[in-house]
Amino acid sequence: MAETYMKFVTPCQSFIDTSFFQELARLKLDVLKLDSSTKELTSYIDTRQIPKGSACAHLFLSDQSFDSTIYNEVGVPIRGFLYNYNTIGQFKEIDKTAFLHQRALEAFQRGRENPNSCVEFSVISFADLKTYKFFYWVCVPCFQTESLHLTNLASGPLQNWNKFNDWFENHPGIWSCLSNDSGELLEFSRDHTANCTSLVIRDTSKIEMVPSAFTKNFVSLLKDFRPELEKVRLVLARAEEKSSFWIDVKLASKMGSLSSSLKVTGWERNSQNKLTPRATDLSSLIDPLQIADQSLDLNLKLMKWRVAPEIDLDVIKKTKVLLLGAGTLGCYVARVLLAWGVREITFVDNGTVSYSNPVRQPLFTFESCGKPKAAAAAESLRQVFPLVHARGVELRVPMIGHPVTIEEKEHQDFETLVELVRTHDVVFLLMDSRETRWLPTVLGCAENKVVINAALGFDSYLVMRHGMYNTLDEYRLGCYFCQDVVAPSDSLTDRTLDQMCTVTRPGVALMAASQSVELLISVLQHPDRNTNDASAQTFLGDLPHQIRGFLNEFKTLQLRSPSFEHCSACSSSVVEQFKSKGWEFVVNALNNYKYIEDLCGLTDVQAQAEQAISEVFDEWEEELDDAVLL
Amino acid sequence: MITKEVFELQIRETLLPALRRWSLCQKVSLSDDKAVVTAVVKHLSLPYYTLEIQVEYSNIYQEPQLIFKVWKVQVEQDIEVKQVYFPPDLSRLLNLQDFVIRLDYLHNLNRDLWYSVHGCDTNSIVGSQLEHYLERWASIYLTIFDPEFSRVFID
Repeated sequence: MAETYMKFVTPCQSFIDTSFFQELARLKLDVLKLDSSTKELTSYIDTRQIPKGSACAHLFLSDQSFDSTIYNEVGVPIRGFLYNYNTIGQFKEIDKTAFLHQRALEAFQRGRENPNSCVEFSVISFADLKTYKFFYWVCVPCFQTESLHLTNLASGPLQNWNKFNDWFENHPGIWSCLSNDSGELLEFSRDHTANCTSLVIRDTSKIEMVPSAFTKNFVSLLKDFRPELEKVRLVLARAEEKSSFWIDVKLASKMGSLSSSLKVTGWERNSQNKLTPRATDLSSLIDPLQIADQSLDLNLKLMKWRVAPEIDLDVIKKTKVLLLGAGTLGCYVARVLLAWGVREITFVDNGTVSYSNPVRQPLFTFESCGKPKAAAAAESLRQVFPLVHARGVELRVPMIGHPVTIEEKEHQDFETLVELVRTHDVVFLLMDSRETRWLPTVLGCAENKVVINAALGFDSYLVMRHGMYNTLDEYRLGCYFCQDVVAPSDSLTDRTLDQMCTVTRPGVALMAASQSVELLISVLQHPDRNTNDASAQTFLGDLPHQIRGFLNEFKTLQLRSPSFEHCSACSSSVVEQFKSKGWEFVVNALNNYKYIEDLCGLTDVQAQAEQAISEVFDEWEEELDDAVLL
Repeated sequence: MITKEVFELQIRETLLPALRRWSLCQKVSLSDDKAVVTAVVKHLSLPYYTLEIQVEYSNIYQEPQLIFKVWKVQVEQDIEVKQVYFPPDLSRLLNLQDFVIRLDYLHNLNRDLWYSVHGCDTNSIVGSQLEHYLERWASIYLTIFDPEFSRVFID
């Protein structure tokens, strides 16, 4: 047979399962973030499962490839490395030749320590998480020292296949072994090369009499270990006896070349046999709802990458929010909650969408007019993000000072409201009258819920968190009613239209709504949640008690006020009476707000104030009389 | 109908070797639990299309369940981009014959959408004899992808 230069087949063809990219996306978003350091991968090459249509074995990557502890009994393990870049620019600009050469050099160095380690792969990648497109390129470094020339002297079918096959069966993780002059098979190592006559390699090629390019790695190492070796028999053991073969190879060394200088191949060719990267576009594959879900999370999780790594997004996602009022404030608050990833939002309102609403209330359109507001807002929210659990409850919140007319209906509304407050974590008070906010404030105290209050003036707004209720006489922050010396009463009867409707500059509601949600987010990030410390801080900054905005001066103030022991809503006399009497207490308050003033002591406070004023007037009169006399 | 035990035995002894002999098959693998076969198959005539085929056991019908995805490759700015393709007319891409094929299978692992070949008539098509059941099944159902698939059992 004439001497010929040896030819080699690509050692393996990669197949990357979609689960690999899904896991990469998860890791990138939740774990790696901006970390672009090398990550280890594990795969297996199964030389027994090579189909007829393939020239070589497969390198199969899936989500399991990220976990080196998973043992797959099928195939020979192969170590890999993932180089995931942060931008497509970095991915494209990397010097591919230098990269491959460096990987080959590292494999060669590792092979010098342990020849089994000279077989490895690398993946460069960029995960575009917005479009769900994954750019990648796999390389399997195959190297040959520059000084080495391999010439095929003779070849033939393998006669004693069982011997080699049995050895590999008994050494499932090993790629090669050596046969010494007595025919004994020994694991390939520097020490065992002294008496070796044959280099036996587990061959991943399926092409007749042409070995895989991994062969070059092992032969280069053998020559490196035994520079004086001029000829060796290569045994290429395949899964099938009939295709296994041997080749006698002449190992010619060119004088003067550096032994460590390598000729390298390894970038995988695409289906058109070109050396270019590949991309897998999973956008059409994934359930659109899942994409929406992940995309919402994506924007939030990006905060954790650099800007706010400490932020606890899970607590926000799991918070159940009750919105009392589905008007301008309710709509805007719901949208900001949605953007923060809150997944459970319940609207409560007893009105219908009027023709004046859609221009100011962003969850409604012209088609919404006439529909119940709470249900329409919930439906609209689901259209924005189908995975939100949005519910609309048509309910009239019982109002202090508004006497009971249909007790059965109002009692039912009360019970529903109690249940709603109990089953949510946070209550937003977004209604358009003071007296509507009274009962939910009492309920918020009784059920120990976080209560966020937003109220609008013409060009001003108030956003506050109610202090956490406790019966001990400890300092706590006040509620919406703590500044008042009268209990709320009917402010709607016999009022003109401009007095009953919220007359406000249109931008005010948006500002108050967004600040109220941001206040909640800060509350949720505090270890004590709704702390009574008014100067508390979180990593997001201040955690104020009240924010008052004045649009006429484009000014915002932070205020704090302690709870008032005679408050008509959060004082212990009111809350404890509510806890003990329930609906009976509420009926009394609805029928006569003076009942509450008597209960909480405001009547006495008013009397003392009257007394004080009277005494002041008396003093003034006495002073006036004295002055006249003088 | 076929029991799950016989199905899994015949997967290893019949279907896997047959798929490996199939000239269009580029890759074939068996799941860790030995119950699902996945194959990547070239399209018979269109080089830019590949098919990802899975055969698993349907507990409802007690028959093999065949699902598949069509992948299309195109080059964008020198990068070969592969994406799942939902052709407007599947019959122009595959040999559908009278099989009932629906785009209705949501994969339980990846939650992605696959075409499924409805298995309700399998018993009358394949026959009830358990011996060589998967061989007969594959000879019929895999002709969707290659009209001459059954040659793998002869050659």
